[in-house]
Amino acid sequence: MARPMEVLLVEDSLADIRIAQEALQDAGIAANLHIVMDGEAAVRFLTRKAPYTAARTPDIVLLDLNIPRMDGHQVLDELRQVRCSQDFPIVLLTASDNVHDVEEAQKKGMNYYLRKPIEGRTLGALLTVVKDLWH
Amino acid sequence: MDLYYVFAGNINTPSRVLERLALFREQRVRCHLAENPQLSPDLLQCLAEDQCWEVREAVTHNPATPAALLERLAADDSPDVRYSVAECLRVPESALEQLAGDENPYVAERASRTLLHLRDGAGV
Repeated sequence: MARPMEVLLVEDSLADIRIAQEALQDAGIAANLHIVMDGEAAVRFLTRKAPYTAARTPDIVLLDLNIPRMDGHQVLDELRQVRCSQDFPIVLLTASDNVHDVEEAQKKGMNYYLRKPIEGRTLGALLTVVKDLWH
Repeated sequence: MDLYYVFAGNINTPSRVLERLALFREQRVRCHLAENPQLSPDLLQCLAEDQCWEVREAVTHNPATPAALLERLAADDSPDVRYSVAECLRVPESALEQLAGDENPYVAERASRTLLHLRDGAGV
């Protein structure tokens, strides 16, 4: 894949958005980062509903668990119903030690999870594997 | 942890990605893939013909492996694969009876015990 990766970050914390931006930069992988700040916007983006009708299908979704309007679990539920999530992996971002959260997300279609704060090296390894396997 | 290994075992990994992982060079990844209950019958069959006996053995542990494929693996060249089939309660009795006469005494004994268990369980 010669084009930059399209990364959708679903995150409401400005501090965590900044950390993700830095991690992506440290990862050294060409990528366009799209940011939405709540679950409803994430679903609209991924199903190309207004105002995201021209949105590109992402190569990977980084989904925070605790987001407003619709939490990470609800977003996974929605995406499973529309079955568009087969085209890209959904990676849950969590600061929680709660195993139940991860197990629940796994049942709902999550492909992987990353502990916050995201580090450049970890994100870089993940993006490399996703690029290799999903495209 | 190796991400290829993780995706190979994840029940949410899409089938086209699983197909790519089946061609993966690293045996450990193919073994983990062979145990993924979301594998299609075609992919299970492909892995049941893998050159590494560890991968073929892993296919016998997969709950999605059809009985007919287990029956085929009962005739595998590797005694480790046959032993694993001999432990499996989903194998047709005819295949277990065949394994009870296996040239390898460990396989034969294991198949006999599984048969006994199945027949006891069935109230025979």
